[in-house]
Amino acid sequence: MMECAKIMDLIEEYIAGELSPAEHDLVEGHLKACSLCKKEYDETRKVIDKIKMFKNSLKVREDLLTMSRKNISKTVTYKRKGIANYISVMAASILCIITVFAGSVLVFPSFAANYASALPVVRELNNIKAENKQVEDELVKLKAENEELKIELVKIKGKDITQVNTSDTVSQEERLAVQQLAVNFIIAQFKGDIELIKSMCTDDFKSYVDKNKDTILWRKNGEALFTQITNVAKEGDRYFVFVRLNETGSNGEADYQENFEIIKINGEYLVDFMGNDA
Amino acid sequence: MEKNDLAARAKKGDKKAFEALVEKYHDELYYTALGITRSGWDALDICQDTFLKAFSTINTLKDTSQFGVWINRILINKCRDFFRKNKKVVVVEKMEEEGFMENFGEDCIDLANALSTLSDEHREVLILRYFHDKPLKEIAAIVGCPEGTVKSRLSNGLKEMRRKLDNNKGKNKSDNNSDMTNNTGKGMI
Repeated sequence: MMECAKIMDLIEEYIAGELSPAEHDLVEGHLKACSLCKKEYDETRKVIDKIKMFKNSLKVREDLLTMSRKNISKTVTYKRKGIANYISVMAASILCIITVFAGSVLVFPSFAANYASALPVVRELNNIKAENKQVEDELVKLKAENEELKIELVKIKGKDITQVNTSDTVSQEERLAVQQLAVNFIIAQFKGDIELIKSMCTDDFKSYVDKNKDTILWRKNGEALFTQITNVAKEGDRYFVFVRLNETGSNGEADYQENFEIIKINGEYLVDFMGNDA
Repeated sequence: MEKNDLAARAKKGDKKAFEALVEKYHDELYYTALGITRSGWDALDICQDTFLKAFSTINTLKDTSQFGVWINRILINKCRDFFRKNKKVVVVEKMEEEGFMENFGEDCIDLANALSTLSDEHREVLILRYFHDKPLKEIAAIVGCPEGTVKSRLSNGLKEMRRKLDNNKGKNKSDNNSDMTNNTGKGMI
């Protein structure tokens, strides 16, 4: 029985042909002599053969297997491409980060200029800053020139007056008419001709003039020294013009200003308000 | 030697080597999965998952000469996962209906029924052993247990198969005697 138990244990490998020659001979000899073990061997062999037969009966369609193999190869290749794409994305991300860092130089230019001046991008930044300074200087110069261009000498009522161009909302004809009215008004002030003044005013302002003769009439038979006059601005139907005057003419400095509000009634320009300003 | 070279090349990212490994191992793995799951479509899915898993983790394979054992082990684990997730029973008729089989001999029906009702661990070793004639040592490496355990599983599995086949034989005889017209000769797998 000890022999049979050992043989039973070796039968499967005996059938598989995996025993050593000695073990093979041992089993083979025992099976010839032991009907019980021979029966066990036959039954085991039969089941194994059936399983192998079953496997061989599984005739799977070759086209499906081919399709499966191709799908796997394709999918694996795709996945690997996916990994490659992932690497590409990583590379792009790194490039992006570098770009952001380089960009940060622009955000923190003083830091970069001081601590990373050797970097090409910083050198370029410094060059740009130098160029920018030149442009700024030129801009200041241009602004100054532009201011100069805003000032021109105009002749009004035979007087040369420096005109400051603060607005360009009116036509040349209107500007001249309004400026002439203001200059005439001032000349009349200096002459002390109250009637002449009133002839240039609206009815409302005539009443004001009558009530404020001392304020309106600056000098009697005096000579006005015009230093500056603005060109004319317009808001709605109201024209504005400011005239700077120098009473003494000693130092050429204007020492006060008259602000006019003029309206046009029936084609005639009339002073509706005049106020003094420093 | 050639297969080992293929695995080494595949590990380095050689696309042709990948394809060659698919060609070499696909059908073997597929039949193992089919024998274990008894479903043609599920076997295809498991087979595909196995290759994808293998190729995505091939860098972890230290000994490329063991690629065959390694990928079989992945397949067995995939099959075990399949049974954990799918407790369904597939009938023999379904295997035929799936259109995978060119023919399915009726002589195999009883055996398929018996095989399908074995425990998973017995069925695994029987299929690896008798579908592919794999040595005990290799099966032990694939299923992850000692050779002695494989031997006992084979022995017990074979005995269980004999018992089931004998029972089916007796049942078929009984069915034949009681109602010849109702016997389809097909059962669960």
